[in-house]
Parts: sequence; structure tokens; C-alpha cells
Amino acid sequence: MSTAADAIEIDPIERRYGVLAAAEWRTLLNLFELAGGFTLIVQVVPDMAGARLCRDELQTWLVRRSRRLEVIEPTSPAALHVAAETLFNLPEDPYRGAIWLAAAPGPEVPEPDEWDLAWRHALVGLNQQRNRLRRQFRQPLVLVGNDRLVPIMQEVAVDLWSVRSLSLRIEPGREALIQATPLEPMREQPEAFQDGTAPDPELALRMADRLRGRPGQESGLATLLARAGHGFAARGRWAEAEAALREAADLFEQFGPQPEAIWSWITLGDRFVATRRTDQARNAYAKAAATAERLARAEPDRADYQRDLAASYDRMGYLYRALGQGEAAREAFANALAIAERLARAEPDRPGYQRDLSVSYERMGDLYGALGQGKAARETFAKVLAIAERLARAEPDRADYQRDLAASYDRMGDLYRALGQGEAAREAFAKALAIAERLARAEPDRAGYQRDLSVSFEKMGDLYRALGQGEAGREAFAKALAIAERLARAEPDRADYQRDLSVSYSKMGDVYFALGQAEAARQAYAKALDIAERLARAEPDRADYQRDLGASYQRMGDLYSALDQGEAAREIFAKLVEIFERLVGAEPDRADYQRDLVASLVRQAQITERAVAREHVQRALGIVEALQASGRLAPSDAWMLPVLRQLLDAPPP
Amino acid sequence: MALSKEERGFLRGLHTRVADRALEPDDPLYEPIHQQLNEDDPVAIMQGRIELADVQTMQLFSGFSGCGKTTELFRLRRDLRKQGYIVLYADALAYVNQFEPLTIADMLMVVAGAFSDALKSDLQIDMQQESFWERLRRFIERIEVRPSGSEAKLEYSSPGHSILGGIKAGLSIRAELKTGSNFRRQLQEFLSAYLVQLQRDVEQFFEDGAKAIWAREGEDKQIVFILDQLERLRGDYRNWQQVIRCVQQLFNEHLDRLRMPYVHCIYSVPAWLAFLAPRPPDMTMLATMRLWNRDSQRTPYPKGREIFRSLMRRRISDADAVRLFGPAADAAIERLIEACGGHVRDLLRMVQEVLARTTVLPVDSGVIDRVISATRRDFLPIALDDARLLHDIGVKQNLEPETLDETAIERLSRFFNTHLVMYFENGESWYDTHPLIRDEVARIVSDEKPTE
Repeated sequence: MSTAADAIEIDPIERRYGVLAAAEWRTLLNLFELAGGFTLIVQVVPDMAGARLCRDELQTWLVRRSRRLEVIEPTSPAALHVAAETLFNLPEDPYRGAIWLAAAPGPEVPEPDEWDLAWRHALVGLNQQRNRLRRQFRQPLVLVGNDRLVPIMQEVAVDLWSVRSLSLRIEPGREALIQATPLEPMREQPEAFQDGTAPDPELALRMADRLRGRPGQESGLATLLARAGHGFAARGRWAEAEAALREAADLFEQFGPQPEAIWSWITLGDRFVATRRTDQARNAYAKAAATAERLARAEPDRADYQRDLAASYDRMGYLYRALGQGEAAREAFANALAIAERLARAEPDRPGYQRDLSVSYERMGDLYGALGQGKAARETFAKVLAIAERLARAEPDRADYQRDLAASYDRMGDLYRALGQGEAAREAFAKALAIAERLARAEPDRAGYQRDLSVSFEKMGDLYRALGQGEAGREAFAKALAIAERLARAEPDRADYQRDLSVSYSKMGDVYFALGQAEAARQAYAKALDIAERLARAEPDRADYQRDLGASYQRMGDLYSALDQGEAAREIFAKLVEIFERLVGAEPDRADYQRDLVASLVRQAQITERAVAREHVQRALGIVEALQASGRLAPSDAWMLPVLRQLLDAPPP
Repeated sequence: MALSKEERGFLRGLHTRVADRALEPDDPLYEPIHQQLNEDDPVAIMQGRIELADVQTMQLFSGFSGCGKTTELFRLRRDLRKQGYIVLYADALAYVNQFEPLTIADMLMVVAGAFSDALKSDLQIDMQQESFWERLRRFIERIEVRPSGSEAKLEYSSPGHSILGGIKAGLSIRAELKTGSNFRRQLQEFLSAYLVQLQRDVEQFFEDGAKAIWAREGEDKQIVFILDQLERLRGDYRNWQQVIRCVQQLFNEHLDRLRMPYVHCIYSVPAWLAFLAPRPPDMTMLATMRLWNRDSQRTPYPKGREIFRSLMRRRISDADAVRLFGPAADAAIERLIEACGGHVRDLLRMVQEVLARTTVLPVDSGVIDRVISATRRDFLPIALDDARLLHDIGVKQNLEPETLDETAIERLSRFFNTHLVMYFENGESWYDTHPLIRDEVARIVSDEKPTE
């Protein structure tokens, strides 16, 4: 049975852009309530997806008041060019509650200048006939554009600008702050020892002991130590793994570089990353790269050395990205890509090289995305898709090629979604889902395929939710959750399945939250939090588990906050801040942790009394300013500074 | 006059004794060639490397066709066993098709599969009924892990599904490896994409194999695995270039992948790998037994001739030799030894041919002439280009090819495998042409000169 709390309405704008944007939006609605007759409202949104979201919200709001929204959404610069004429040609309509003229091309449109020019022309026309506007229309007129709209208006339609009643910005704010770009899980090394192939470390050590102190046997000793290290690592005995791998790597370095040395350093580096020892990780990856470079230089024709070198660059890029050093990351990924391209060009028929190339493109595409270079990201992901399609076409029976293809569709879907191209995203995700369903049907007992399917359902669910199709989203997430529950039940000791289950509960909770079913959301979040706490307790050194726990706290805190349970929310957010303070303390170089901390401070500020809130925001601003000063603030995060300054000026109650 | 029944029996007996086959070192017919020379004994070198390295090593062993590689590997096996080593031996040709390109993925399967079979056949260890072939099937079935980039979930796949379809249909991986079938090609391509994982799997199999041996024999026992006959990889007229390329890549790029944990591995490999720069490390070449010294006169090397005479005596006693060749038996045998150029197999084949041509005892010298003549004829005709290169090798007693591309390697391999050229090693490596072709090569080259 629903409770009063269940009846809350969660504003989709808040869900998407955060409370600042939602507050702006409420101001607009308040104005609608108050104003009678014509008012001019200028609204800035990031892109057309944002415009459509606001439009739908306004439409819903007006329909509840038995009125309708007149929508003018030019689909081309030419159509915008004549927008004034279109507007003045509208027939009279007593049920019209507002006029919505929107053209907000995102950063990815092919001809931004043409759109600017069209807006100029339209605004000049409206400016000239501003009195006619007042006379002809008795409803608010909302002009919706991207961040170019205001400067253009100030330049060519200053009179119109001066009569505006409200200008507002719906942009990513607090919510985006909390959703700091997560550091992706490290790509599983194909070189890693996996279940069933992990060496017996004790045996390797015993054999290594036979060679200790025997001159001339250092290389053999190093090989055995590396084997022992990998065996310990596969068993999670990290202290022993580190000791063995370090000794092996040092011996390799001292007595001549060998390919095993590269992977000893890389394995160590991965461990350092996972355990928040950034400097050591950087050092280990650098040594891996140096060894690989030396080997590759000595024998430039050896493709395996080239591949090892590419793997080392890849790891460096990954770390730099996490440290917020975008340019260094780009350079490292570009080095890896150059090698992959060279190998693929030399032997175009080798599927392995094509896949390497595809992975390198993915890395670059991800980075472009993070750097806000959407066009470059799209072009790069298109190359990934082209490779996957070619391989899958050549051998349609190969399940791994089908999986690559599905992953490529997912990536394109993610990108389209980010660009606000919902239909294109839906098509891409649907193709991925179709492949996942086919594979899962062909081998229903295979846990891996079930997981693939679960991921696909979640992607569809995410998209439906973003498109405001809450019920469809709920269905998709429910399917994903059912699979996750089944897998976790079948193998309860597998931490990865538990983690999946936690993610699935969180997503279900999000849907319930968005649908206004607060109690159901709370229950789902509680289950997710329980798992996250358990995992974090079991392996307190693992930063990813700590971040998972942070994400769970954040969701729960948001819920309490929305339910006006301030005390509970404060308690949760305090834990959230504590987690990220700990992570930052351990690894101050990690820009992503700094970002997480900023987000948790802002969140805490939202529910704290004014004076304390200011302190939190001030501290968050200090972190962002420091990141900017050290060149580690990602371009895509540049918006944080004005938002935080604005928050500082008027901190939330 | 026709041979009597008894004489035919005598010839049959001799024929059996001169039959060419790899000999165990304890065989009465075995002649300890390399042990008698005051030079590097390849078997002792390999054994030394194993003894010094203790836990694990990898060595390559080679020599040109007919120089007695397998016989020497048998000796190594015996000597190591005497020292307490557990030695497993396998013939690679039971697993690979010498006329098909061999990739590193194939090689890893062959190495582990052969080790698995040898464990069972030589030591009756069946790894709890789980052969490598069964593991390989599971490996192909096993999941590959990679992240989806979505909420930290990892995706799994079974990329080998389509491959396994073939196995489930009743195909045996081991049998298929010897074919050039579509299935094999698919398997090869598939595994090439998952090479590192395959390598880990193979290494793990060796570790498990070593543990199984030690469980029975004690952990102080060291294990040696000899995989013989890989030198026979040569392709055919359609694909020799591809096969050479593959072998070159296999032993140049992927040699490290063939090191197996806790086992001393010895692979016999194509001899032309020794031409490459850099020569693969720890490669031991079995040279031809030399009958002359490296000088312009090719002065005789008495020790070599002595050894060959001793070898012949093990197969044909002095009394039998006199009965076969008459009072001038020594001279007849000397002529045959001279004509064989130092190749035991060729010497034995010539004796077999003498026996086949015998119509009366003792044989007259004409038979020996005809046999030597027939042997020479087997080398002919020699193409002009080949004659030029052979002449150059003979004059320099060295090998200085202008290039070492696939064509050059194929040509040199042909020279060595047909014994047009021989490889010697006595403190230094050197080469020379077969004595039976020198005159012909000189004639071809000299005939060519006036027209130039």
C-alpha cells in the first residue's frame, strides 16, 4: 500500500540535470502560474535532448491545467531562419498555454555556424516586431537554444532581450557532480592468469629456491619468481605476489630485459592502481613500457614485442586518464593505437590484429568522449563498429565476433544517447540486445551469455528511463535483475555476480524512484547497499568496492533527501564524504577521486544549514580550482567552476 | 652363375644389418661417432645445459637429413635416464602434417598433446583421465572475460562455440591437426586470437604433468621432454614459402612461448634456422661426419674414415666383407665411404644397392662403380644457377648467400636435404659440396664461362 511518501514526484529534470536545474525549472513554472498574458522567457539547454525533456515536462504541466503547448521546433537552419514568420502565422487558440520555439543544436551538429546565423535572422525579425508579439500573443513565449542563444540575442536583439521576464539555464549541475565519470574497470588482461590456469605459486617458489645464489641462473630464477607472483596474484595473496613479482622484475631488469618482465611490471601496476598507490603504479607502468621499448627496439620486426609495448602504453593512458592528465592520456593511447594500426596494416588478414586495433580505437573514443570531443568520439567508435561488422560478416558463426559486434552497437548506443539522439541509440541497443538474446538462447546454460543479456537489458532500461518511458525501463531492469539474481544464487561466492546484483538493485531502485514509488526504491537501494557494504568489508583495500559503496550511499541519501528525511540523508552523505576523503587522502593525485569528493560535498551542502553548506561548497570549489590550476580539470568538467561559484553565492537551504 | 640359396640368405642377412633406422645407443649396430672425436659432442652439450640449469630449459636440436639426429636424441635420452632424469620422447610427425603451415597455436597444441600422450605411454600417467586433448576441448569452451564498460560488469563469451560444434560432431582434434581441413584452419585462426590464454593453459598442463610425475617419483626428479622430427616441416610445391615463413615466425617470434615450466624441453627443428641471424639461442647442430679437412686439397681426415670403417664393421664383419667384396674388400669399402661424403644413411643405401645388384659372390668392382655412378646420377641434373652457387660453396667451403628470403632458404634446404651440400663443425662451422658432384659442377660452371 502506498504511503504519503510514495506519492512524491521526482522531477525528471532534477534526475537528469540536478537540483540547480530543477530549481530553475520550478522558477519558470512559478512564473507561468503568476504571469498573465505575454511573457518572454529565454531558456538555455545543452542540446535538443535537454530541450525535448523540458518541452515534455512543460507539456505535461500544461495538460494538467487543460492547456496545450504550441511547439515550433525547426529541424534545419532554414526552418529556424523563418521562425518569426512561422510564429506570427499561428492561428489563435484559446487553449494554448505557451509557445515553445526551440532550436538547441548540440556540440555535434555538423553546421553550428549555420544554426547561429539562422538564430540571428529569427531574432532580428522578432526584435523588429516585439510590439506585435505582445499584441498577438497572450501566452508566454519560450525561446529555447544552446549557450550561444544569449550572446546572439544580446548582440542582435537587445530590445527583445531587455523585455525578457526570465532567462534560465537548464544545465548539468549537482547531479552530474555526484556522477563523476567513473574510472572504468581495468580491462581484463588477456595475459592474466585465469581460473584453472593459475600456476601453483608454492611450487614455483620451491623451484626458484633451487636457483638462488647460482650465477648465470638469474633469468631462470626470475621466470620462476614471476610464475610464483602470478600464481599468488590469481589467489589474491597480494603481499606474496608483490614480493615475488618485484624480485622477478628487478632480476629481469638487472640481467637483461625479457617479455616476462613487462607483464610482471604491468601486473604490479594494476595492483597498485587497485590499491591506490598511484606513484608506484606510474612507476611500474613506466618500467613496463621502458622494457617493452628496449625489446621492440632491439627486434623491431617482432610483433609480440610491439603488442606488449602497446599494452604498456595502454596502461599508462589509463592511469593518466584517471589522474585527469588528459593530454598525457591521449598521447599514451595514441602511441598504442599507432602500433595497433601498424600491425593491422602489415597483416590485414589477422583477426587478432584487427581486434587489437578495435580495442585501441575504443580507448581513444572513450577518451575523446571524456574530453568532450564528441565528433572525434563518434568517428572513432564508427571505426570500431566497422571492424566488428567486417569480422562478424566474414565468420557469422563465430560467437566472439558476434559479441564484439554487440559491444560495438552498445558503444554507439551510448554515444547516441549522450548526444541526445534517442532513436539512434534505441536502434543500436536493440541490435546489441538481439545478438545477446540469440547467443543466450543458443546456449541457455552458459552464465556468460546470460550476463551479456543482463547488460543489454540494463542498457535498454537506461535508455527508456532517459527517454521518460519509465514503465518500459522498469520492465527492462526487471529482466536484468532476474538474471542477476539467478546467477548470484547459482554461485553465491562469486564477488562479481554479487556486484552485478548490487548494480541491478540500484537500477531498479532508480526506476522506482523516478516512478515516484519511494518505498520500493528504498527497499531496492537497501539491498544494493547491503551487498556493497559486504564486498567493501571483505576487501577494504579495493578502491572500486569503496566507490561502489559510495554510489550506494549516494542513492540512498538522495532518496532520503527527496523524502525530506534530512537527518537520515545527512548521516548517509557524511559517510559518502568520508569514503571519498579517505580515497583522496590515500591518492591525492587521482583527479577522479577529487571529483567524487567535490560531488559528495555539494550533496552534503544541499541538506545542511546555510553556514555549514557554504563551507562545504567553498571546499568543493577549492578542489575544483586546484584541479584547474594544475591542468587536471577535464574540459568536460569546466562547467563545475561557475556552478559552484553560483552555489556559493546562493547556497541551497 | 646364379646365387645359391645360402648365398641369398647371406645377402639377406647383410641387407637387414645395413637397413637404415634410428638406433638406440645400446644397439650393437650403434657406432659412437661423436664420442670418439676430440670435438664437441652435441649430446654432451645438451646434457650439460640441462644439468647446469637445473629446473627448466628449452633447447633446439637440428642437423640435416640423414645425419643421425634421432639416434643421437636416443643417446641423450639414455644418458639422462642414467643420471636419474625422467625422459619423455615424442615424434612430432604423429601430430603435425609436415606439408601444412604450422602456427604457434598449432605448436602449443602439439607440444602439450604429445607430452600428454607420452605421459601415458612412457609413464602410464593418465592425469586423472584428463588428457590435454580433453583440456583443450574445455579450453575452447571456456569463457573469455572482458569488461563491457557498463557499471563494472564483465561480459563473458564462449567464442569457441562454432569450433566446438566440429568437435562435438565427432572430430578428433589430434587427428584434425594432421590434416589441412577447414576445421583445422578454423581452429588455428581461433586459437591464434586467444594465444596467450592457450599458452597459459599449456603451461598449466605441463605444471600438472610435472606434479603428477613428482607425486610418484619424488620432486627431486627432473623431467626432460624431447619432441623429435619437427625438422621435417617443409611444405610442398604449393605452399613451401608459406611453411618456411610460418616456421621462421614460430621459432623467431614465439620461441619463448615454447618454454614449459619445470620441464627441460628439446625440440628438433629445421636446420636452416641456423642460417638466420640471430640464430635461435641454445640451438645445437649435428654436423655431418667429415672425411676430409677444410683446405683447398681437401686432405683426408683419417679419424673420420676410421670411424666410418668401424661403423661398417658393426654391420658387416671383416669376414663377411671379404665374402661380399672379395680380397679387396677394404678398398671397396673405402670407395663407398669416400662416395658417401660423410652421410651414414647414404653409405648404408649404397651398400644395400650393392647387395641388390649382386649376382655373384664376391661382387666385382664394376658393381661398385655402377652403384657410385647411380648415386651420382641421383644428384643430376644440376641447374646452372644451382651449379654457380654450389661451385661458390665448394671453392669457399663456406656459405655466403646474398639473401635469406624464403626462396634462398628453400634452395639451401634442398641442397642440404639432398646432400648436395654438407655442414661440418670442428671448432668452426664450414660447408662443402658433395664429392660426387664436384666435377659436374665445375664442368657446368666452366662451360658457361666462354659464353659470358
